[in-house]
Amino acid sequence: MNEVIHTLMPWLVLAAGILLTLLVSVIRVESKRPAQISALLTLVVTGVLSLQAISLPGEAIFAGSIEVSSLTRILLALFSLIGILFVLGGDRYLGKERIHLSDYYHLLLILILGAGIMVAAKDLVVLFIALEVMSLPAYTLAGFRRNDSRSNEAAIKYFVLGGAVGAVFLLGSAFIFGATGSTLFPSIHEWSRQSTTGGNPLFAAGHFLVMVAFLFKVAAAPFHFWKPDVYEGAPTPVTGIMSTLIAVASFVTLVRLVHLPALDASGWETYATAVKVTIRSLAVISLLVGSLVIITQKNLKRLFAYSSISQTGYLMLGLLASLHPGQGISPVLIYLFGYVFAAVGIFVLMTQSEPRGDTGVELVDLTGLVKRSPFRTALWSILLFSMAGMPFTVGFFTKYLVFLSSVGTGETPLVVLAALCAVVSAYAYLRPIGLMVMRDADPGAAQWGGGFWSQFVVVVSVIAVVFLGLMPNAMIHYLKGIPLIH
Amino acid sequence: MITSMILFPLVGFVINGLWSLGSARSGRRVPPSVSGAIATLAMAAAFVSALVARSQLPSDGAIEVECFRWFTLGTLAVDFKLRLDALSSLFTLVITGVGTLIHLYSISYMSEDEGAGKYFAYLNLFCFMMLNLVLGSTLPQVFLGWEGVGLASYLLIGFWYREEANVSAGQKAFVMNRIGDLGFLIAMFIGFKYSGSLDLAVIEKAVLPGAVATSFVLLVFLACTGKSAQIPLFTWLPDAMAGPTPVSALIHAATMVTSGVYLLARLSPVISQSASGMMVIAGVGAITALITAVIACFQRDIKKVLAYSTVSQLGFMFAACGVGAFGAGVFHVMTHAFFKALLFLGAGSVIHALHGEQDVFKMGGLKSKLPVTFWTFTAGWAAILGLPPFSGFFSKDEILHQALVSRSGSGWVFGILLIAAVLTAFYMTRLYLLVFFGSPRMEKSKFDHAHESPAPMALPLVLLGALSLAGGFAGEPVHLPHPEAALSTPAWVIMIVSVVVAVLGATIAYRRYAGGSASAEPATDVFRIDAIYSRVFGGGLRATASATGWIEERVVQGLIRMVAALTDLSGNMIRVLQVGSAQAYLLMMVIALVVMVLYFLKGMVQYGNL
Repeated sequence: MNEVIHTLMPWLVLAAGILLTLLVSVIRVESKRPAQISALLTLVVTGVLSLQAISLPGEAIFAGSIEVSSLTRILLALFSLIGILFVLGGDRYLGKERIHLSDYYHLLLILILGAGIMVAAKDLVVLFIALEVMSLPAYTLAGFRRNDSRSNEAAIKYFVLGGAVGAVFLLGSAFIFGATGSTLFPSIHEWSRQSTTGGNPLFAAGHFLVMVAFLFKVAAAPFHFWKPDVYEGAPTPVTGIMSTLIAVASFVTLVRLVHLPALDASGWETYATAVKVTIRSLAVISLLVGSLVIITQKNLKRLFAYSSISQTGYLMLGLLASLHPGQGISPVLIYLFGYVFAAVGIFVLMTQSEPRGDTGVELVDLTGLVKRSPFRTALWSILLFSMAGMPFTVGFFTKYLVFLSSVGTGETPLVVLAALCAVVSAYAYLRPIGLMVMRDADPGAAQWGGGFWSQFVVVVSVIAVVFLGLMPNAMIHYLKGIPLIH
Repeated sequence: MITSMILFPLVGFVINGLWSLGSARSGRRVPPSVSGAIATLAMAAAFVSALVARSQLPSDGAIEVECFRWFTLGTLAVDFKLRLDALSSLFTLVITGVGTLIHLYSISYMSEDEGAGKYFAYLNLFCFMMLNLVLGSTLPQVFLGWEGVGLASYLLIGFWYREEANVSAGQKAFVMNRIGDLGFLIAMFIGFKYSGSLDLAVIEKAVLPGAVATSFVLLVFLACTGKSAQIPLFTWLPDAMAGPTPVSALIHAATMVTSGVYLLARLSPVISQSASGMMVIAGVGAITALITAVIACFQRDIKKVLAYSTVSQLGFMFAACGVGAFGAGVFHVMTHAFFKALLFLGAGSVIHALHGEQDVFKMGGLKSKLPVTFWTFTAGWAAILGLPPFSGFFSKDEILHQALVSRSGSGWVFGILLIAAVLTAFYMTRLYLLVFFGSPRMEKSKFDHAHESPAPMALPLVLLGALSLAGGFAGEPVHLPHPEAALSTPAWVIMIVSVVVAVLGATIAYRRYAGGSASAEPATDVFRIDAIYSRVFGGGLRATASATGWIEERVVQGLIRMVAALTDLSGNMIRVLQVGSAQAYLLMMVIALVVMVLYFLKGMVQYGNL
């Protein structure tokens, strides 16, 4: 028992932190500071504990339904970091929007706990519970701007669709259980090695359903329709959390679920081809939708919603490469990490408009920014360069590595398409820079003003983007060779 | 030394960049002379480092400096490594040498401009990136420089951003370059796939299967057509002249636009493996040289003449590479850097003297007013015509010679280049006569107030003039393998021919323009290429994007909204919260799911698993 507690320490601290945060917010109802500080402390301790344990060997606990490994520890640390950055960076936004409530913080912590368990889950039932623990607070947070109808609409859409996805996932799990007699990943994997029938229809249907549930979560086109609406309506820091924390947790889980059966086992060739074709087609559709529609967007939040759809496309290139024997998923992980650092900065920058936090999200609000706020312009530019994949930023690398791994597995036509999409969509990322640097301010453009912590978070993320662009080895070192399964 | 060469401009960029960011906030201007001095000193120091590095270079070897390990992935390890050999050393000398002079010139040229600090920061950034491009030892590093110079160029073209035309010129340059970059990226992946490495030294030696070699060469060449403004991607360069004139001289004449030639020369062993690829390069180069020379004959704007002339001269360089004479191409890069930078700076001096006048038909008789500019411009004029003993003579003659005698050359490449050479002599003499001779055609007050540029602007002119005069005696600076000769036409025949055509072109121009009685000519988009492009490509891309957006937002969502509205009869709630569309999204999801499952079941049935 002691060992289980020891292994699960970061998660337990996080859970205790949720209770503490709830408690302090009840004790002092009129102030939100205690809840904020308690949340920050919880996240710092969680992050430090998981980083500290990073090199310890992996351990399966609770009859193998949860496995704590280097990957899950590093992901939990990343989630805590994202949480810290958004707590610090979103502070002023919440105040400006008059939605600064203590509930925000414990909901955020619950969300992080759900994501943290989800990436450690090795059992379909545990995974489902974790998914719901992560999603329910996310629905609430999306509707946090209670007086704004778009925010309400976003929350309801997100909730209804999310609920349906949960159902799809459960149905899929039931099918898989029916076919294999287990919900544990290792047992399912073992079953697939022994079953030479290669894709018993019941299993196949179940596997497809659970994959679809997560394809929805990562908004791979054509499962992406919810994303622009929800992104636009949700409070900006919450959008940021969806785009980083939830996206990483969901994609990692998607990779796990795709690898659920041993696709290289004999007799599974047809099935493996079907899976590959599906992923390849969805990658193509996501890339096309993401990078073409992004050009026409005028609202920054919608723009980054489409951006994240095309990111999903690039990630699926990496996922496809990981299905080939001998290929790991490190390009996918590196891509996710790189994207997170740029996205945190961008979403926090977006909250810096005045007088309200949600006024400066149209492209026109950026016009002439270099005159009004040169430093902020420089920050914006570096982050947008990273999104566009310019060299010397982390965004270049992560794309580059995914492309390389994909070329190595013979997916050259797909890489050509992806490179083309990268070139086309770069226009959408560089146009805002043009507006900031080469245009005089539009009379209707929003005012900008950060506040120390918000600016601090952006600077941290810019430093990370540049540092990891120059020295990606610092990141690769931690992420390479991490086995995803078994 | 190599490291310090690359670091000096970076330091200059950081100092000027931070300073002008800081001053923009406080509202105080950065004094142009101080920031100019910092930038120029940074470049001069880089030039000295380049000289020292050159002197340390073993005669036929290379120096490598490992900076740090850039990234590792599996077995692939890519170091951030600088590699100096004869080829890159030549380019570093040109970049830092000509760069220093142009920085110096800019101090006076930009002295009135409130954004001078920003200007010098960008200029230093450009040089840093350009050095990365030529010193990079791996393709990703070259790509870093390749993108970086594009960025700096984009920023500098749009430097005077209050004019709409400048901004759109910047965007045009950007879009055309991105098309080229796509070629670079894909070529890089192909190179990696077949050689297993990203190191230039390895890829250079790679032997690619026939079809792969051709596609590799064509993709690399696509990248070059973007960066070096060749057909079909050349129209951005004349528009890029919207930037300050020293920028045109440095980036859009002497250095960045020649990086395509650098890349071809660097990869020459691989490029030579594809005969058909080479033929395309030679053909495109020669035709570009000809067409843009024709266009240059019809331009009124002094900078546009020089811009089209640059594209045309780049065409000569590519034609040289295409016939296998990479050395001759690189030689012309060097001499062209001297005389074209000189011509641009001379043009800048004229424009400066006439307070912004750029129309050659509103100039004339400036010979006596601007003696230094006149004499140095004369040297540039003689060099581009290819009159002996000026530098252009040696390199152009070598290109023409190789185009004729090389095994991969041919009569028609030679012929086209020869016609282009006649035209070059024609339009340059036309420009020269219209600007400096005849009677003044501008307002009298403007003519009277015209005065020679101050010393910091005159000094670079004189130095570049000297280089344009004597630079050719250096001979081919880099010894790249010569193409096999198929003909034995002696070199002196070609020399005579090339001098004769230059004199011929100049004479025609003299007869037409010597009186200074220049009737105004139409200055238009001669072949209507710009108009066609903007309609086809610009419109096309925008149309595709907005069509997709429209389909996405209206058709697909509209359709499913309609279906949803039909299925749902409980109306009111939906309209209030628009849950209708959420249900529509769900419906879409289910449809996609069904399609996937059907596809999948079909596969299973087909293979008898079901």
